Order: sequence, then C-alpha cells, then structure tokens
Amino acid sequence: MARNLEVSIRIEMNETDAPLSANSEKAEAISSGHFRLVLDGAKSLDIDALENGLLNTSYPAIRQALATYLADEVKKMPNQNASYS
Amino acid sequence: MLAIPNSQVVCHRARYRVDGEVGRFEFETYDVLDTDGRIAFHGFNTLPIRTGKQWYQTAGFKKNAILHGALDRSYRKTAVAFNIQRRQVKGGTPLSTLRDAAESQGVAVIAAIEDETQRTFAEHRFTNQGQHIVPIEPSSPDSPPKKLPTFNVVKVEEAWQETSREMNHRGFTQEQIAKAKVQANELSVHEYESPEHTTNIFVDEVCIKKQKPHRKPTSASVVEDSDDELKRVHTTVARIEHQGKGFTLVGANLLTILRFILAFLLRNGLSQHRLRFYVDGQRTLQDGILTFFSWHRSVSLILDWFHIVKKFKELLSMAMKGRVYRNEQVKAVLRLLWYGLVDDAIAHLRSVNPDLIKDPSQIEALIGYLERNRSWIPNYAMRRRLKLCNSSNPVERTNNLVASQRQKKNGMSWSTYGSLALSALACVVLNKRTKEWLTECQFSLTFDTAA
Repeated sequence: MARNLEVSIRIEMNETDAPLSANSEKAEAISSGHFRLVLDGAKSLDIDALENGLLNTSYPAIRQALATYLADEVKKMPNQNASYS
Repeated sequence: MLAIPNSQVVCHRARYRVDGEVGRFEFETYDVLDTDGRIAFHGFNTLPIRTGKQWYQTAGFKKNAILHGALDRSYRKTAVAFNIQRRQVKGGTPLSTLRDAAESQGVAVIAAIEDETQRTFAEHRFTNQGQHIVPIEPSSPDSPPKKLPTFNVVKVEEAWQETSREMNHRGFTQEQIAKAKVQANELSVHEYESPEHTTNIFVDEVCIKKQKPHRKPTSASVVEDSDDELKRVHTTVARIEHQGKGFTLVGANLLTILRFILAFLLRNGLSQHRLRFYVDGQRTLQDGILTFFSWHRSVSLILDWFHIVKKFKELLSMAMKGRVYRNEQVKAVLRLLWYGLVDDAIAHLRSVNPDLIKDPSQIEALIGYLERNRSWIPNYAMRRRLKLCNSSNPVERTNNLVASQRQKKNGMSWSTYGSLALSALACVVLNKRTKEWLTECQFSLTFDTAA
C-alpha cells in the first residue's frame, strides 16, 4: 500500500545585512528547494513589494519541489519494475 | 523601548485588511497610548491609508484581477477565476468589490491624465482649457510663417503621372483629369504632407448601451423605457500616430479628448507639426477640432474614405428604386470621389434619372453632405499612391480594443463611469503603461516605441 505524502513549507522573513538581490524579480537558489530574495529594507512596510517578493521567491520553490519530486518518483519506477520482472 | 515615557501599546480595534495576489488576509496593527490614555501614535499610519471596512488592494491584485482580468472578461467570470486561482473560493473577492475597484481605478487613470495635461499646459503657457496665454508665433510682415515641409515633389509628380494614366485608362475626360490635378496640387488642404513632419490623429466616438436606472420595470417606468433604449453612453477615443509610433487616449467628451491630444502633442514636441485629423462626417466633431486648434498654423481634416463609401451605400439604398440602380450609382459616384472630383460627383447626383429615384430627399442629403465636406475630400488615389493615410481605420481598430470587444456584448449595458473607467484602463494596457501605473500611479503622455 502506498504511503501518504506530507507537504510542508516554511517561509521566513528576517532582517539581514546581505546585499540586495541583483534581480528583484528572480529569487536565487541557495540549495535544493531553498530560494531567497533580499528586498530593500526601506520597503519593510510596502505591502506591494513584500507580496511581490514572497511570490517571486515561493513560485520557483514550488516549481522546483514538484519537479524534483516527480523526477525522483519516475526514477524509482524502473527499479520497482525491475524487481517485479 | 518606547519614545513616549509610560506609554502603552494597545491593539487597534480594527484589523488591517489586504486583498492581494496571494489572497485576502487581515492582520492586527498597534497604537501607542500616552499617560492620559490618548492615542499618541496610530499604527495604521505606517500603512497605505484606507477607510472603514475597505481592503487595501495590492499592485498584484490590480494587475491580475483588473488589468489582466476584468478588462478581458465579465466581472463575474473574473472574480470566480481569480478566487479559484488564489485558492480562496470562500471568502475571496466578491464581484461587486471587483467592479467598484475597476471603476475607481479607471476614474483614477482619467484623473492622472488630466493632471498630466494640466501640468503640460502650465509648462507650455496654455490655459487649462487649452488656449494660448501668449501667441506662439507673433506675426511679423518681415518674417512670414515658415511653410511646413511637404512630400517630395519628384515623387508627387511621378505619382500624378501614374494617376493620370490610370484615369485616362478608366475613361475620365481630359477636363476631369485636369481638375483632379488641380485638386491634387493647388489647394492647400490637399497638399501631400511629409510623413516626418506630420502627426496623424484619429478621433471617433464609441456608443455603448446605457444601463437603465431601474432594473425592474414599474408601471411608471414602462413608458420611459422606449426612450431609454435610445440612450447611449458616449466615449471619445483618439489615436495619435507619428512615424510608426502610436498612442491611445480616451475621454468623456470631445473637449476633454482634444485637451489630452494637445497635451500629448506639446509633451512630445509635435505641436509644430502638420496635424491631420481623420474624421467621419459628424459635424460637431469637425467643428470642435477646427475651433479648438484654430490657433494652429497647419491643421486640417480628411474625410475618411471608408465613411464616404458607407454613407453613399446607405443613402443611395434609400434613394434608389432597387439595388441594381443603387449599385450603379454608388459605383459611378465613388469612382469620381476617389479622385477628389466633388463637383462632378454632385453633377452626377443631380443628373440621375428621376424615374429611378424613390426618395429625392436622400439625393439632396448626399449633395448637402458633399458640399459640407468638400474641403476635406482629397484625391484619395494620389494619397494611396504616396502611401499616405486615407482612412480612420486605426481608430476603428482602437475603438474595438478599448471599448467594443469588452462592452458591446449581448445583454450588456453600462453606466457612464463604468464604461469610461474600463476604457481608460484599456488605455493603460494598450499604451504599455501597466508598470508605471501600478508602481507610481502616473500616466505619462509620451510615445512608447512598442505601443
């Protein structure tokens, strides 16, 4: 019987001394499934900029998570099938 | 550590509400009370101002729900799709909120264009109504106004040789060919403009079905309904084109749109160009343009060829007995008008066999139409050969993009504000001003190379 799948996500917004992201529309990948975007501190209460920054960071993460998961699942298939034959 | 000694931070009674691209959400804000219990600092003040139960609509909301949503499809469909996309089918943005948001954004766009217009007028020493404060060119007998460049003379001559050969081939008399040449070369209004020094302006009105004040008919309103059906919401649309670049403007009436056009011309350094307005036969439109730009040294109208064809087909249908005679007359008159032979066209209409005429008043109406517009009927054949504009097609296409394709659908009717607001928002998208509008709430009156 197939096991259930847990999806979890945690988004953090912290102050940082890191320099601003070169492209505010594109999040940089730090590691697998981990993306970040450094926004201008002067816009800490700019709802538009914050929402845009969050979406620009989360969508690549969602896309990558889905792609990685599917690739891994497909990779498992030949092994599973091989064991049946 | 609080700046005010012994002060207290308290939760604000109302939560701040945001309607965004991520969905709708609310959060607490905090105020600072001084020792007397008075509010010394409002947490709300650090955020965009909103009133009562109003939701703050983010730039993402405006972009997705309004500019790329409600502009293309009905408010109902947009609201449903937007809420599904945000995973907030319950508690998402209601249809009425979306409609109100779109209308207020559209009105704000018009206000931004108006602000820019007034700023431009002030910079160029014009009154708010678009009148000169000081004359641009003081007249002096020693220095007559400089003539604007016209089309290359050699090319005009070549085009004329071809046109005269064509006329000869089509059976025109030598007298008619000579008249067409006069029409082509001597009347100032028929000069062939140099495209580099000419700005083409297309102005037209779009009529949209007006919303009835009451949805359910009452015994008192049933009588009024027949009159109401005739009522329309009018939006004036202008398309300005110069050297392959274009810009679209909308306004509630002719004066407003002419002011916007003037501001645009001033802002882009085009006010000293030759101005060619392409219009239909609407007298108020023609008179309004000529009166408003009466100070300009080179403004002229050109009667849209497409409109002439439509007018003659319609009126001759009512005038002639049967479509065979009607088609014969349409063909004969348009053949003359294509070469600008207005007198010959009038003479032809007067010579139509009375036995074939069903309604002579329609023939008189056409003669009156030609007399009234004779100054604005050029030699269309020559203009086509020179690849100059002959019709107001650009504004007809713009009308469709700005208003018709969204607002002229079965069963739809619009309020004056609602129609104008959506048209104004369509202008933002058509002129590629989306980013500027969403981030700066401004609408600059300058050409965008890709627009």
